[in-house]
Amino acid sequence: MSRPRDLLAHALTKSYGSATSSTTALAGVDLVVRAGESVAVMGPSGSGKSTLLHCLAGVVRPTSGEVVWDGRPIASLSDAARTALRRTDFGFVFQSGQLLPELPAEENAALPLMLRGVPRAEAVTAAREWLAWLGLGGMETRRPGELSGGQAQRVAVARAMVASPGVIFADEPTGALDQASGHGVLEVLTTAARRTGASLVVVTHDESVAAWCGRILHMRDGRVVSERRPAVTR
Amino acid sequence: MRAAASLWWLLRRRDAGRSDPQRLTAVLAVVAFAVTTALLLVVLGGLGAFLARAEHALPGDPHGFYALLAGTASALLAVPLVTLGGAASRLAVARRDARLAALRLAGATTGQVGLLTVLDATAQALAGAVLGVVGYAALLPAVALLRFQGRTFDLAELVVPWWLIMAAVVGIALVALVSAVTSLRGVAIDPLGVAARTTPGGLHWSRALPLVLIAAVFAVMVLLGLAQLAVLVGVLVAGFATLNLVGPWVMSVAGRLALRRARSAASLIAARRVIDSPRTAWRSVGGVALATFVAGLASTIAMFDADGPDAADQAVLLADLATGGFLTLAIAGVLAAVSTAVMQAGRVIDQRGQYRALHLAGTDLRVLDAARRRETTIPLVAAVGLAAAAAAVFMLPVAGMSLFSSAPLLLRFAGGVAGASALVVLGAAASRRVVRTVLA
Repeated sequence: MSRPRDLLAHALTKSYGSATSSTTALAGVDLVVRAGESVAVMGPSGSGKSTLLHCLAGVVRPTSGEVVWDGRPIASLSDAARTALRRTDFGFVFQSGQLLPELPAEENAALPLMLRGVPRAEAVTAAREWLAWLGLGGMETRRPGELSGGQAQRVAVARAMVASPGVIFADEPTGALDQASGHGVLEVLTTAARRTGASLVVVTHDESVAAWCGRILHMRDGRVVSERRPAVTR
Repeated sequence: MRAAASLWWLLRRRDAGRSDPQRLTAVLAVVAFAVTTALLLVVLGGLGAFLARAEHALPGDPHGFYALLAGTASALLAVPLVTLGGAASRLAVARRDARLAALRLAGATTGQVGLLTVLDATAQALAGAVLGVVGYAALLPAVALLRFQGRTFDLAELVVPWWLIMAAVVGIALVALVSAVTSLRGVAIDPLGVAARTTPGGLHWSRALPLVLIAAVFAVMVLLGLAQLAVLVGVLVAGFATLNLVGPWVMSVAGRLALRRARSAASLIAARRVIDSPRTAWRSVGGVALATFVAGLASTIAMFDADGPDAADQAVLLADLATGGFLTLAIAGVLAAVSTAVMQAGRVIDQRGQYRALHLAGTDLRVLDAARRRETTIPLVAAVGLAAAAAAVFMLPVAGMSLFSSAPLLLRFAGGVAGASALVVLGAAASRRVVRTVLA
């Protein structure tokens, strides 16, 4: 049963290519991510985990099945409506290369609020608060080229969190970092999600990254083949 | 060398389909090289025609004054022409990194992958130059309709000799080759410098001093009655030099003012990009600024009354000056439009990762389009404003306040500048297609 701020996927399929030669990326996925829950999606390359993330976030439309967010079906929404939904309800953290090189950290982090029409001063103030909370106090005016990889990912986390999203989608968020920096980023990401009550969906190859989440799904050939709790809860 | 050439031949027509930015950059680079070549030949053809007319000492131009002016206009257009050629070359080598990295992994040497890139850029330049020669031939009938010295041109006057066409094609290919080698050297010598973007230092206001100094000297000379033809030519040269010195500083100031006023995400991104690289901003609109300066001077001179025994010849000369000024403005406008399109396409391709991330995070494409449009209009308005003000500063001592009282003159000048500016904005809009391609 769907509750407010739950994210549900029902009988989700996604195929690419033409009718004669298509590739199935998702072959019927059912999933419930409860409000405030963190879920890791693991699996080998080509198992469909990134496609699942893109379907859940409304980036791509599934071939069949439905995605329901906060009680609203989103798969059938127009492209513009799904774009607006991503802007207002979701936050994103990618592997790397997501920050605009010309903008200092505080403006990169303030962008989602400004895109919603929040006045610049207010948006930057909120961004500064998040940056300080993430341990980047004093680095607000530095540009991405002047930050380490881990610091840049913390700015990306601030950007994902600043607009108080309902769900944060993270696609290999530590893929470009060393282990220590990666764990630091995961720690702030999961703590930030708990702080705001946001759900967290993390796609990863890395078992130690998945261990930061409350539930771990394993995918193979477009299906969820197993589900478990991490051995140690962080 | 032979292995690299074989590899290039094998890969020359391979791309990943319609959504491959590589294909789009190749098309854009070829178009840019074609425009550069066609306009270069048109300018050279015009210069040749005026030189030939000067040899025959046509009535009304016993001193070869037209040839001098045509030479000045050609020299002025050389800067945006070379800028466009260079931008096209940089685009030709842009985003080769993924393919080159794959080739390096497969065992190709740095020299071999470098040679592949240079061959790519040079081949695109040659293809564009050949298309440009065809474009030049197609433009000739329209150019021949222009009236100078009381008559239109014969087609034969505008046709450049075959060796000059060959030299232009080879020259364009050489510009591409040198720019490609320079771009590659930058990457090879300082790979971190390419990736790491740091806060740029501001340009110093002292760059504006020469402009003020030259304007003051000019005013004093005019007041002392020393304003001869040589002084006017000196003003042109000094004006060009100072505009190119002051231009990047003005871009930097305009960017900072725009940043202070930025309320939306698009304005913020645009202002930051201008501040990030004021010299690049000036390069893309500097040609229009210089041509605006020339058109301003020419328009002002055209308002003088012809008098004396050769008043009729003087009237033709003054009208021709205005026509020449606007023609220069039109050509500079086209060059700047193509330069802007090429530079913005290159930037979109360079930043496609960030574009994708922003789009995935729900950023409307219209916001990204608006940011790129403002990234062009902020420098354009500042550059054209600077050039018009500079022209007014230089001509005010000569023409007095009547400069601002001639409505037809001001309207024609404003119309010409607005037309050239509109071309540049259209050039910026052309990169919309590139954004859609990289996000597909």
